[in-house]
Amino acid sequence: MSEEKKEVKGVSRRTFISGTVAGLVVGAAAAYGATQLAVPKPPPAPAKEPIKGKYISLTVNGKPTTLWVDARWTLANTLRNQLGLRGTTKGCDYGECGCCNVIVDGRAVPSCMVLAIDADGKTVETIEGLAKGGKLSPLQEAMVKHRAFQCGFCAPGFIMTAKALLDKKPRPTEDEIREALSGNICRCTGYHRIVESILIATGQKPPLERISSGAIP
Amino acid sequence: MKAVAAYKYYDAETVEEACAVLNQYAGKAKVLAGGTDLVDWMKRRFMPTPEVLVNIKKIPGLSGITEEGGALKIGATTTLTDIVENSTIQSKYKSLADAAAKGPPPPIRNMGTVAGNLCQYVRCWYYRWPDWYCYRKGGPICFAPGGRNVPHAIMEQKVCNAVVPSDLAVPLAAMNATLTVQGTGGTREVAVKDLYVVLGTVLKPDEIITSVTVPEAPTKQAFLKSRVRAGVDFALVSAAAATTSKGTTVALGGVAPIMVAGTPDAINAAIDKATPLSENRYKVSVAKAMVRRVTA
Ligand SMILES: Cc1cc2nc3c(=O)[nH]c(=O)nc-3n(C[C@H](O)[C@H](O)[C@H](O)COP(=O)(O)OP(=O)(O)OC[C@H]3O[C@@H](n4cnc5c(N)ncnc54)[C@H](O)[C@@H]3O)c2cc1C
Ligand code: SF4
Ligand code: FES
Ligand code: FES
Repeated sequence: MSEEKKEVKGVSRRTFISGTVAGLVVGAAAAYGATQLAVPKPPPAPAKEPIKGKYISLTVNGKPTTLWVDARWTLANTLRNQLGLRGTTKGCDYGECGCCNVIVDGRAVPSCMVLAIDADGKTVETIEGLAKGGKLSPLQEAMVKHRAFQCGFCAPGFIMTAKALLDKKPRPTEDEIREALSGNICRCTGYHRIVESILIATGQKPPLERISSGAIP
Repeated sequence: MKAVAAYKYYDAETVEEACAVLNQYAGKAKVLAGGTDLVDWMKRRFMPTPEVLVNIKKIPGLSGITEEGGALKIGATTTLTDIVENSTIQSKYKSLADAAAKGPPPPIRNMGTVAGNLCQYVRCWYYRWPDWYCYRKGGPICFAPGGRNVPHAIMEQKVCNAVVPSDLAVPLAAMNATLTVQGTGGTREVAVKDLYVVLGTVLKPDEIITSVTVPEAPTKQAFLKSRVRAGVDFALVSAAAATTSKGTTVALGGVAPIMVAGTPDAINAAIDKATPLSENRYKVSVAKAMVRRVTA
């Protein structure tokens, strides 16, 4: 499978860093389009027979996109390998870690469990769409300022899940934040700083005031 | 990416069309709802990949929550998030909302559907690993009794010791809910309590669940779930109780390959006769305590 080969390359350190760091810090919105890879040729598919793939139209970060997808491809792989949006990371590939969460039609979903062919006609938001004009969103700003992440691999998933929550509820309580993020796994930080950064980004005081009081620099 | 074997995809627009395709591929086609279990299956390859996936999410009228004459009707492709957030379910069918909220984490709830949750495959770790050719896969042996069996069944073990993984099935069984099932041969009703049989469900390969009906709102209800990591884990033991005009029914999850539901006395008697495996004797006392607490 050509897709598998690309994936093996995708694990190299360079792309790993470009994926996470660019996604988190600069936002790869500018790179999107430039890195769009060749779209495979569609095989002929008769109407109303089971199909092996089809052209889908979806809106990715506000940009209407049409591409051919194989029925087997997941949205995570399609975003990364076909659309060049490497900000979305993949941890487990089984819906368990939340690294690959993106917002589809307003709801955070693990893109590794979404079949790309199912995303036809949907609106997808990824980490690359958050920074506007090279400026980070307030949520990302708070995460960077308060050092919410260490290696950053889980960051795109956490940020998109948090964004889906904030879109619905601009001032969530700590419990609501923890509940919304309960499907996300971070192996580095211990979660407190992530939750506290979200509280700070929404203009609230974290309960222990560890970050804001400077107790932890 | 984990290599997924080739399959084809079919976008059904009506239930009849979906049943016809399922019938045409006799057992080699599968219903695709949220995909959170099916995609996992195809990536892990613990069972042969289906030839055709029939997407039922685009069928109009298959999702939604309505109240008709005192009964609650939930469409098959209604997501678990819709259940958690629905105000009717939160006020009158609280145990169902609780079960959905204590089920998978929110992103999975946004995709996973009610019918998919009921029909998901067992979570036995031998079953979910391709190299273990166990009884449920058509093999000669069940590995659980002689192996690691902490999460396995303590009663009703006929040949397989895996437990029903669905959290929603527990309150639904306690509330005497029924499923409307449509196939090429017509429509029938199946009680949630009777959905599971020894090695699977009573659904035929060409049948689709179209809706779940709860006949009446219980006057008293409760749902409890014990698990290792709150947030993602499946139930070690879960229990639900519901009091309706027909009396009190208790249902237990995480203890058997089929649904265990009945009057509190019958359930207590069943727990007393439990036959735990080498590592899961703890489930007996947990189940006892849970029955006491949900009926309190
Ligand atoms: C990390 C994680 C944690 C989880 N934790 C829990 C938990 O704690 N408790 C819990 O209960 N569940 C849990 N789940 C399971 C989750 O709830 C199910 O995967 C989900 O509900 C399945 O719904 P789906 O629509 O995605 O099903 P699909 O994957 O689309 O389908 C699952 C099966 O059901 C069949 N099916 C689907 N719809 C129909 C229909 N209408 N008629 C007939 N057959 C149908 C499919 O053919 C397939 O065999 C967890 C899952 C994950 C990934
Ligand atoms: S408990 Fe069931 S699924 Fe697990 S190994 Fe035994 S037969 Fe297989
Ligand atoms: S990679 Fe999708 S949830 Fe882990
Ligand atoms: S920062 Fe490393 S996994 Fe979260």
